[in-house]
Amino acid sequence: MDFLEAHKTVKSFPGGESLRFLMAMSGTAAQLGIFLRAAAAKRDRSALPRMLPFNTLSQTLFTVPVPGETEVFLLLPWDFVPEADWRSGVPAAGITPADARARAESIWNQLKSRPDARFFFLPAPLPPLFSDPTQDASLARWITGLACSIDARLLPAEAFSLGNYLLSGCPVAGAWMGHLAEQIIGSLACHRPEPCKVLVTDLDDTMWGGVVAEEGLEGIHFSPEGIGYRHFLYQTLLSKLRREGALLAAVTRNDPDVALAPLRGNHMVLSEADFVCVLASYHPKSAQIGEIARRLDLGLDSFVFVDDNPVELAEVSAQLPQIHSLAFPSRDDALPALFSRLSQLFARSVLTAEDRDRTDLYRRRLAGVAPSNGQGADLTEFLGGLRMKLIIHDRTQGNRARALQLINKTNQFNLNGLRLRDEEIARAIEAGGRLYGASLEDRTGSHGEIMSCLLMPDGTIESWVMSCRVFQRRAEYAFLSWLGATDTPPQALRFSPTERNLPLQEFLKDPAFASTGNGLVRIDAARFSRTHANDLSLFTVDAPRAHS
Amino acid sequence: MKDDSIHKLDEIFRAVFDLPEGADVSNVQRNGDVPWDSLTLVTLVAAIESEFHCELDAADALELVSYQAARALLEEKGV
Repeated sequence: MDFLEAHKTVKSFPGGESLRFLMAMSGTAAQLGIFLRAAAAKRDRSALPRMLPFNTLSQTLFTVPVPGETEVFLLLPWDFVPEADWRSGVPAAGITPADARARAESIWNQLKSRPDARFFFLPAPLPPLFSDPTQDASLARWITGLACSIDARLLPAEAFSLGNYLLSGCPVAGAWMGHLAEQIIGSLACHRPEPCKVLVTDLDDTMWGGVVAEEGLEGIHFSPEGIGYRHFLYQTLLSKLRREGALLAAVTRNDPDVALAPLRGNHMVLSEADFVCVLASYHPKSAQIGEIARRLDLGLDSFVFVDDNPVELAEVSAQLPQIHSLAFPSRDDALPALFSRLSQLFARSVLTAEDRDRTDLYRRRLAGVAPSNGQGADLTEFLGGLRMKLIIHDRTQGNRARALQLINKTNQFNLNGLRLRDEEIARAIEAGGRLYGASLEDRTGSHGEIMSCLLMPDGTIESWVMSCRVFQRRAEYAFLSWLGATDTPPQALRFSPTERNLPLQEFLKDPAFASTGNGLVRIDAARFSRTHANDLSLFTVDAPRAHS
Repeated sequence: MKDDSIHKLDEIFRAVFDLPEGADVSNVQRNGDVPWDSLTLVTLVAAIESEFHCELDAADALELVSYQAARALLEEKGV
């Protein structure tokens, strides 16, 4: 959670049940305030943290806890060994390792006697204390061990900012404040929560690298090497969670046989038998997850959803806010944080034989479950916040390699399934056709070239494809609205149903289209542009001048 | 600076200085019309670090005397 999200959350929060606690740290906690209030507001609670004056944590340990006030301690190494505080400089007078450990143990005894306290430990580096650097390292590790022995949650070392600590007294790096606040409020709002029961995972670019419908079984990656490694690791974690009693389910925008093929190949860590169900459809994922919950008779707050696509995460979060929705990260170094979070959500202190057999039991309950065609969340506000840019390229001249590649590998949003050779495209262009490509960018970066469209002089769109990576963003509506407003609007689309182009078939149910019965679908371009003006407004369109 | 980053910085200044939505922040500065104290500065530092996933040290913080200075600093950092 970043600052602006926290600010917006706090500003729009109407108030809720109070969450009183002592935010005890020897540094300054004021900057954390807005993040704590926002994290609590997300749980419909009004956070009322009492902050300690700077550098008074050790005195607080001599006071009696305030009745009704839960204590949260954010500890740093110098809370155990004050001589290690950076703000005091490297100590002039020597301290022996034995003295340091004695001081630390004394603090540890005081901390562990605080009833029902939550502890967090930030393993910041120590300044040199001893003449032998190995003693410094040994003390640092020992202090971390002390913290762990009182069940302190270890924060990543990079959450410490010496710059901030010296500037303002707050040891937490700005980029980590939201994360820390969520951890703190999470520990307060649901102390020792029940473990979650169901992990619902996306498949493409989550369980494996790549999109199986576009790249085929041979083109996806899930082995412990190269770009498949992260997905291999993810599968091993899911396998562990399943053995420990979690139920695995998958929801994917795909054709069922395409989605299941990798799971039936017995080449991956996980197979179809590890899942209680795999729901593949083009309906909203929130509807699928809701159906799973209904069939299993389990509360949505026991569900965790993992997906790489921020649009899917936003849809599920908006429609099913009780669910824990987590992003499958785009960077390998963010995997440990995801794995840690999943392990926390599914943590169990005792494993039983029933835990280990749970998947088989629930597979029987879900036998025959079909995808739900329920409605999903309205994503207009979320999509608007993405600040999407549709960059339209005239590929009639110049490099058309990517446009051709898209035509020949896209299956789902594909007008007719036709595969074209470059010579065929060249002949169409010689005959007056125009080949368009479209790239998509948003505030997270570029998604590359995601669309190709071949428009003939008679106004017939002979080929039109869009990558399934950008489903749900309304890019297809925006593009066709834009094209409909040019000097050469399309008049018809050459459509043919295939086994895989169900998304395109759904798209053509729009009232602006009318089938002629001979493979051509007439389009009322003006009507389409009017009806989908809002979709076009979600994008900044950057188009070739002659076609704007 | 990308448009998106400028927009974020504008929103940060509006939030930190409690200015209305859409308010022009281009002239916000330390000795200007908005209350600007040490707590404001550390809040601004935390907000910038949080939104732009960067680290500002004491030298950077000293340069944060106005919106324009913040923008120049972030451009220097390649944001």
